[in-house]
Amino acid sequence: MTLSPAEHGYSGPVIEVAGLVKEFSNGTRALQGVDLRVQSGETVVLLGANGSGKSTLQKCLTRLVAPTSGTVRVLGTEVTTASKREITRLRCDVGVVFQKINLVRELSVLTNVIHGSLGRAGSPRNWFAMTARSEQRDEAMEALERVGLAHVASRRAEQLSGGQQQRVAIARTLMQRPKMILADEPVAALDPRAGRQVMDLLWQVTEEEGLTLICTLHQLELARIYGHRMVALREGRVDMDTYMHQVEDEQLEGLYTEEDEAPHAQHADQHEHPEPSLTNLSGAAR
Amino acid sequence: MSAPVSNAVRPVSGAAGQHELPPRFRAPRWSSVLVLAVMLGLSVQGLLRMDISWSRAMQGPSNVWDFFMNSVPPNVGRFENLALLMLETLEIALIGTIIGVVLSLPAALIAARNTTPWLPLAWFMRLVLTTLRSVPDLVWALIFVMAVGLGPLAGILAIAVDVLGFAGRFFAERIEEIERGPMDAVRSTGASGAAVVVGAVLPAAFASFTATSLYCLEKSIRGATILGMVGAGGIGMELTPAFNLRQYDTALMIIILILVVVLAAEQLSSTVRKRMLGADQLTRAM
Repeated sequence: MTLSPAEHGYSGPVIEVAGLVKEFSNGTRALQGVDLRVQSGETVVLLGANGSGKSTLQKCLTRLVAPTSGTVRVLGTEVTTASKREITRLRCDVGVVFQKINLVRELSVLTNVIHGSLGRAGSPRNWFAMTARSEQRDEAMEALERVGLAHVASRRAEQLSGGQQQRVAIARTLMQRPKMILADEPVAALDPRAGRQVMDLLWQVTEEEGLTLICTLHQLELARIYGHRMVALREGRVDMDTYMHQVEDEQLEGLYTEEDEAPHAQHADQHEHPEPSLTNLSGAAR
Repeated sequence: MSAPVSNAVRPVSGAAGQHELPPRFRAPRWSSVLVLAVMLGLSVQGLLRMDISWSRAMQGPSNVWDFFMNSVPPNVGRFENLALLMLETLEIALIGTIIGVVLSLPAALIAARNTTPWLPLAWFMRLVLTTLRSVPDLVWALIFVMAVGLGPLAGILAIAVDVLGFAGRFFAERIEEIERGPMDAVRSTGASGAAVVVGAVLPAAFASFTATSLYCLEKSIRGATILGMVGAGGIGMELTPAFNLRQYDTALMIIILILVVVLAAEQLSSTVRKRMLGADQLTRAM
């Protein structure tokens, strides 16, 4: 299944973002002119404090959030101007791994994985594991084997631990046969060990399938270990875009210093807007 | 993402004495006072205007005692006839509830703001459901007796409409409470709207839908017992004549039958609910 960049059918970068601005209706400017190019097969770790615009940027890539201005081009689709159908097709090609895992808890693990195929094999038969086509059932089992959870295929999703659930979510993403994976703090809800397991799996899958991966992270240690290319956002702008081995620890830490932590309170004027990042995120969640 | 924003917890420096202690009591809002005054006024005005005769109220207990003495033992002579009517009542309730619940599903999906195809349509559907709900089932029975003539069909239709108004609203509210994440996750694989509903909405809402439907069945059985009073079939048609002709023993027999069936229905629905919630949810948490 591994495809070289050329076989994807488009040469050059798979993500091209230029001058991207997102202003929410409440006036929060989550993104203030972001430029980003990602080549096919690249893995990018996206860093930044809460409210720096990471999630909004990721959501703009598949227009879960509509950009205010600027251009976004993903997998050859002009996201800002694409029709609804083109966006749906793009979303089929982009697997998303969520911080909150987002399995349908009441359904079996197998059903959840089969649902990954709904975009490309949307037959109503695939709504339930019971009635799904044999091809999809077999493929889902294979995906579960790959994440090491084939033995719990018939359990209800809510009966698994957080780490297992996130691995099931990765199996669901595999089932989607994506060309790109967007992971939004995939291990924030997990304990360190389960987190490492999920990160290993994510990187392994990405490499085996030759996928492009954009992964936002909070944990600097993990970013250090897994990151190759690193893009850091700060207040809606790209603050750093470099390779992980060229970055000093202090620079990374610096991304997370807030104005009230700095001994010299140079941003005291911002105190009128006490929680810009929170309003920002609730806007993004819509 | 739910991590607190650090500048929200900034301590107030040296300002400990500047803030006033909140007062122990606050004057109630004028709107609360107004509502209370209107309710009190209506009650007093009603008691004065209706010219309630206390002597007649005093006679009540002895009349009830009379009824009780004359009704024991209940008349079992017409048991077979009455039991058959009770069965008809039960069937009216069951069929009506099934029709109502089946219609409630699409109605709720339209009325719920997170699944509606078009927002104004959701408002309209809510309006329709509210209207259906605010007309009592006995009035619906009168309307349908007029429309389709005397008999159980009118009863079935009345129950169905009543259930639609009730279940439609509660289903819609449940759908609106469903976690956003799993729906977004299924949607992000490029799945169709129908697939999202079947794959993520219905599984999450199923338990609640079943509980609501069972409650509707209970309510319908209670309601169906008196529909006969206006000629819409069922045991109610025997109840009014029994009282008018002072056949209190027959009346008691009917009341006993109703009691047994309603209690049985309640028992059934609480058993099913227990099964569904599981032992875990029903152990004491306090």
